[in-house]
Amino acid sequence: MRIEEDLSCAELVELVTEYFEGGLPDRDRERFEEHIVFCSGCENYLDQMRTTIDVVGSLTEDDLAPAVADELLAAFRGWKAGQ
Amino acid sequence: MTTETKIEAEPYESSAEDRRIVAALREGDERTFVELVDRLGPSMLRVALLFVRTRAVAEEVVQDAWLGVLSGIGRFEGRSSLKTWIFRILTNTAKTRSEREGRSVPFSSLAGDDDEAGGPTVDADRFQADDHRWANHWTSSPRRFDALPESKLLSAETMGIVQRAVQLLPEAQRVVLTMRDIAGFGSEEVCEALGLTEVNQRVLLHRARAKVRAALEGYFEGESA
Amino acid sequence: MIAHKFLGSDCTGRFSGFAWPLPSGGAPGAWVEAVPSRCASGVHACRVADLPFWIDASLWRIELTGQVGTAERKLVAPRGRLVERIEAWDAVAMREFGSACLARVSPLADRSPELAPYVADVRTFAETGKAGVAGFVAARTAEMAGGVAGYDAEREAQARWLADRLGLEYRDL
Repeated sequence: MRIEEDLSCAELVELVTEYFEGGLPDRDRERFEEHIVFCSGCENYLDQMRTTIDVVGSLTEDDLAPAVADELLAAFRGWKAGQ
Repeated sequence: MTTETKIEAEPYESSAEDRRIVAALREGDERTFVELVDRLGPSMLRVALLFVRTRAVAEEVVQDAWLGVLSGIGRFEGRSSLKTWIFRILTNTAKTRSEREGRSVPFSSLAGDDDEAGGPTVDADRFQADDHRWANHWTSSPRRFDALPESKLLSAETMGIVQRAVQLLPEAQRVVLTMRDIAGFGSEEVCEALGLTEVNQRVLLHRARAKVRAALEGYFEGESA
Repeated sequence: MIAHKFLGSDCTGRFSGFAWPLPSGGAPGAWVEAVPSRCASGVHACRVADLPFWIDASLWRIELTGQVGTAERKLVAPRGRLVERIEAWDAVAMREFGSACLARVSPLADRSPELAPYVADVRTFAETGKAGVAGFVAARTAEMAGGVAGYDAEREAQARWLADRLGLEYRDL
C-alpha cells in the first residue's frame, strides 16, 4: 500500500472487531487485508482474536439447580392442563 | 466496471428444527420442553445474571421467562429464530425485574462510563516508536494461540483465566461480550435489548475482547517462559 | 473468465479460512458460490497485475462466472472454481521473487543512503523466502525514492516478473 494510504499495525488492531463484523468499507477492508499479507504479526493477532472469541464462546454456566427444574416441570404440566 | 454486491438482510426463514420444536410444545410434549430448557437454560441464567443482583433472583427471572415462553408459544410466528424470541422474553423479564429491584442506571448510560475512554486496546509499547522506520508496527510479533494443543486451549486452567478476565471487565463491556460471544445474540439484538447504538455496542465488544485476548496472551507467555 | 488466486499451503483462503475444493485427475475443482456470511462481496481473484499484493504459498488458475466486478486490486465474482495449480510457484520461485525485488531496489540506496535500512529489510525477507513482505518493502522503498510513480513502477515490475517466471500473460489495468 502506498504511504498515503498506510495502515499501521497499531491502527489495524483497533479495526479488528469492525473487520469481523463486516463493518469496514470496501476500500478499508482491502487495505486491512493487504496489510495482513505483509505482516505476520497482525495475521497472528487476528488469529489470537479468533481463538479468544472461540474460547469465550465455550464458557458455560452451571446447570440450573434441580429444584428449579422441578418447578418448571410443574409449571409446564399446569400450562398444558390449562390449554 | 464495478459491481457493488451489497448483501441485503434476507427475510428470516425459520428453520425446520424450530418449527418441529414449536409444534411439539404446542402439543404439550414434555420431552421437547425439557430438552429446550436444558439447552438454553444455562445461557439464560448467565444473561439474567447480567441484569439482577443475585443468582436466586436470576433463577426466578429465568423461570418467569419460561412461563412467558409457554403462554406466548401459541402466538409465535417464526419471524425470528426461536432462540432469539426466547431471549427477547428473557431480557424483557430481566429488565422489568431489575427495575423493580431498584437498579436505577440504564445500560445505555453505562456505555459512556468506560475505562480508558477512547484509548488503544493494545499497549503502545508493543509498537515501534514514531522515529523508527517502521513506526507503529509490532516490535515483536504476537504468537498464535492455535499453535497450542487443543487440550491446553480448553483446559480448566485456561477457562479459569478467561472466566476471570470476563468477570473483571467493566460492566457494560461484560454485558455486551456475554450476550454476543457467549449467549450468541446478534449485534442488532444486543443493541435493542440494551438500548445501545451500533457504534456503542461495537466499541464495548472491541474493548472487552481485547482485554480477554491480552489476559490469554499474558497467561500463555507466562506458561512458556 | 480465467484469473488467478493465491491460497495458503493448506489450500485455504487466507482471510476466509475457506477450504477450496481442489482440482483432481485433470478436472477442475467444484464450483464455489460466494456465501454472503463468509465474504461480504464474493469470490476474490487476481488479475496478473494484482498478484504481488496477495502473495501466498500456493497459486492457482481460477475460472470465474457470473458478473465479474473489479475492486481496486482484485476481481470479485459470484462463482468460481479452481482449474489447476501453477506448480512453478514454489519455494524457489518465492525466493527468486524476493531476490529480483532486491536487485531492483538496491541501487536506490546508493543514491539515497537513508534507504539502506529498507533495502536491508528487503534482503532479509528475500533470503527467508518471505516474498509478500519483500515485495511490499521493495515497493515502499521505491516510493520513498521516487514517489507514487516509483511505487507503481516497482509493483508493475513485480507483476511482470511473476508473469515472466510463471508463464502468465501480463495486461495493464
